[in-house]
Amino acid sequence: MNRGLSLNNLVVTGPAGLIVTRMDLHVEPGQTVALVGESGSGKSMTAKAMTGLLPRGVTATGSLQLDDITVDLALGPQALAGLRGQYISLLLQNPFTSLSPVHRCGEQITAALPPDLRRSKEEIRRRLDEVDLPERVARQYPFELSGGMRQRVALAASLASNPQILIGDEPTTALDVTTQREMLDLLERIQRERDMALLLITHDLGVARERADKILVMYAGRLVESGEGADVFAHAQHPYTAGLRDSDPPLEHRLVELPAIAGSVPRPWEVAVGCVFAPRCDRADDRCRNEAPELVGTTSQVACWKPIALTDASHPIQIATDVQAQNTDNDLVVIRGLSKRFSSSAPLALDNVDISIHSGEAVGIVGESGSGKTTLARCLIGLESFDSGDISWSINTPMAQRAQIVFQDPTSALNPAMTIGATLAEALRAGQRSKAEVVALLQLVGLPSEYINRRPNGLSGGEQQRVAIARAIAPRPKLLICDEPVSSLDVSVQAQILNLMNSLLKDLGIALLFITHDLAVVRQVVSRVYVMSNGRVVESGNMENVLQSPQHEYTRQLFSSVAGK
Amino acid sequence: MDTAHSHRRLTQLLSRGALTRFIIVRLAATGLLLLVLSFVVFALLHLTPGDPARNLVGVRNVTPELLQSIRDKYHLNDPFMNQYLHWLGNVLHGDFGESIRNNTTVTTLLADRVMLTLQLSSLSFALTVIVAVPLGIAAAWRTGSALDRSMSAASIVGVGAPTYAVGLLLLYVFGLWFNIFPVYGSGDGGFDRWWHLVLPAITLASGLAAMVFKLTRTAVVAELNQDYVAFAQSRGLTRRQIRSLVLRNAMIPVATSLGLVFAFLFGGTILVEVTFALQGIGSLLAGSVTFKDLPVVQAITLLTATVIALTALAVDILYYAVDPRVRKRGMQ
Ligand SMILES: Nc1ncnc2c1ncn2[C@@H]1O[C@H](COP(=O)(O)OP(=O)(O)O)[C@@H](O)[C@H]1O
Ligand code: SF4
Ligand SMILES: [Mg+2]
Repeated sequence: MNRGLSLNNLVVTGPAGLIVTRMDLHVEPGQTVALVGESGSGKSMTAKAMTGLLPRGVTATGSLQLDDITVDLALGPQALAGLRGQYISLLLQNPFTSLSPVHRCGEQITAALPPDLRRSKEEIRRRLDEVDLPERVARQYPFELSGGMRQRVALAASLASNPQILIGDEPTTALDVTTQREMLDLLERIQRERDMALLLITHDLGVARERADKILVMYAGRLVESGEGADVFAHAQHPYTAGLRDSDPPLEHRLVELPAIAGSVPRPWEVAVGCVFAPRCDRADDRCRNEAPELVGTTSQVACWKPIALTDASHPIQIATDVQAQNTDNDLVVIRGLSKRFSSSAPLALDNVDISIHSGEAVGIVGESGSGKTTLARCLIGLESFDSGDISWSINTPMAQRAQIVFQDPTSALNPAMTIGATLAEALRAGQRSKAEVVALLQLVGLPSEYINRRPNGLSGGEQQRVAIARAIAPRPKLLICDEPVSSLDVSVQAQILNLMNSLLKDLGIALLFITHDLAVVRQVVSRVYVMSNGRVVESGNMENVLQSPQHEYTRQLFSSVAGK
Repeated sequence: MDTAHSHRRLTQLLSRGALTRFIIVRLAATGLLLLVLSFVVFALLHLTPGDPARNLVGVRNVTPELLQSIRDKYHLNDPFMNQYLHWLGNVLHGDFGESIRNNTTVTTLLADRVMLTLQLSSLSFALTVIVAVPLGIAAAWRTGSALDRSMSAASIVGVGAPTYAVGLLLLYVFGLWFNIFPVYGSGDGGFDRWWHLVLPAITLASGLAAMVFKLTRTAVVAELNQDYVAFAQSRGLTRRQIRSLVLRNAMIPVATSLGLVFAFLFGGTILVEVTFALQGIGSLLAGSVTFKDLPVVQAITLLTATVIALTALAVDILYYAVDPRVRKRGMQ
């Protein structure tokens, strides 16, 4: 009888200090265990420690039990070398980098097979068939395949040596939403057929809730809660788990305000004494701040002095009525028949797109990557030319005062050499406004005024995005365009930014064009939505109507793929 | 009939056709480049101050008859384009005219010397590749090890040391002290020729090897940090398998730089040829420039350009062969 995998007392130490602190986990054959947590919480380091692939300068202690073999992790990566493949395999997040670009897919899949099977046509066909890929893929190179197909190739490769345990480190995060579901279904099917143990690492609560038998929640390098399946969230005992659950935007309704967790995730090694969550916890008291709680419990475990009991009143959640799109005719900007092709061999990036935005209105554009959302935004703001169609504005001010844009990645959008104050002053100048408004701007986006003298480097991702938003609204544009503004942020921080956007809309009365692939996120902000696919607008209307009765096949597909929501 | 098989045959044939087309296109481009260069080289004669005929007379006594015969021979009274076409026709037949300094045709003068320079650069190219590439790979594989640190230190010295200093040092140590290698001249053909070329080739190779070592090491280290290496390890691939994955990828930047190295070698033998008194085109060029021996300068310039252009072509074809992404682009 196979005993699965047990990790006991894992401690991972990096150059700056502890990365993972005393971590235990157990996965049975045929079982799916999800490890969830925000970025930097140590999920990947745990996976790497279990496979002996820690980066230089990072070491681990503890023990790993695979079936009837026990490995002392302190012996270093060599101790695990013989177990990789046959016992344990690790599937990585990014299918674009996890395969060698100059080797054929077939060769990469079969590399881990015994030498006599590597050239067998029958074997490769069987392996490709298992991951639902046609035989021709064997002769193709990764760059000739879509992201989803590449990830299937990677999956087939990681299964080649028939491991008993597969660790998937965010295996669907880099894929489009509609492909994500297929990939998860495939993983589930294969796991069942092979009676394999699956450790699924994800930051997506929906995925964990829907797919896992057991869920472990990590925070700043510690396990803070664990338990059976969806129960962990439904009856969260740890305030962090509850906060994470609540700040995940729902698809079914729009909230007046998302219950965000204040502050941001600390570095694991920056936590000296007490409970790791104390600085952000509204239940914290003196004991919390001085003494670290141990993980206690049997079927469900929690590390908290004052866990939330089932009888505790939960936070009252206020459901907002969806703002009805006003049928005013004060159009701010009208886009008619916009088309654009980047090169003669490429398909149309924009295909006869019609969009209008009224003054003061929040409009969403939803679609997968490559559907033309960003190109549309760039055309609108004049960063990109278009082939035909027209964009007519009802105002005649310079572009800086008409529209401003906020991008997905705040780190690359801000100049690292300039202080926050200088960045904002420059933006104010573009709108012919006074430098004196810098402090007011910071206040508006919820940053302390001391940040004037700081540079982007020392700020967290959420804070950087606040600065980027402040910079965008500085010239007082009539339209704020946000292109995937929360996609690179953690759930708890994402909720803060969404709340900020809602309050800005109310206070400034500006119009918003919100571009995203995430239906639940856009639901919380806009009143009207356009759905884009392959450069075309396939559906549009009031957010509520589109959600309740999607007309277009693609929209329905998009809904059904929103995992666990 | 196995359709999968015939399908594969078809794609093979297609990609072979694409390779031929790729080579033809690149050859045409190389030809065009050389044509433009030949024009510039030809124009040298007319860009040099003074009467072209007088320039071609050189240090001989200028008599009206001599001038006239040179004008006739080089068609100097024809329109410029005609002169050029005439000259080009001759060049294509291997005729670069007569040397001003030596009383022979340029072609005879060059024949032996080109061979020597080719041998010299090939030998030092081979030395560079054989020593530097494996060491670069080994150092990258064991980043931070004693081997890596000592080789990296040595390569800094190698890149920094001036060629002539290395040459003189080698001359003293191996030529004069130990008396193993000849210190002077080009040898009598055959093995003796190669024997004479060892020290000069090492001299040339030392700086380049240091550079190629660094390039190779950087390329391999970059590949080792890629996700696909971690993924390969996690699936339990053997060290050998992982090495072959990495090397195939690292080969692409390394091969490109090796092409440059060869071109640089062929055009950069002057110092070594002078130091070791070798009769190659480097030393010939040095002398010919001083003596304003124009036909020789023209011939050497054009020849060096041709070698460099052909090397670039070879690198492109190699690129095409090892990188499927380039192949795909080439087909479109
Ligand atoms: N190569 C490295 N060396 C040292 N520390 C690292 C390295 N890579 C990541 N870390 C640190 O380890 C911590 C955990 O990271 P990681 O396991 O990647 O988190 P997660 O996968 O949960 O997002 C982070 O604070 C990160 O800064
Ligand atoms: S121990 Fe205290 S601070 Fe930590 S999560 Fe529980 S209540 Fe909050
Ligand atoms: Mg991670």
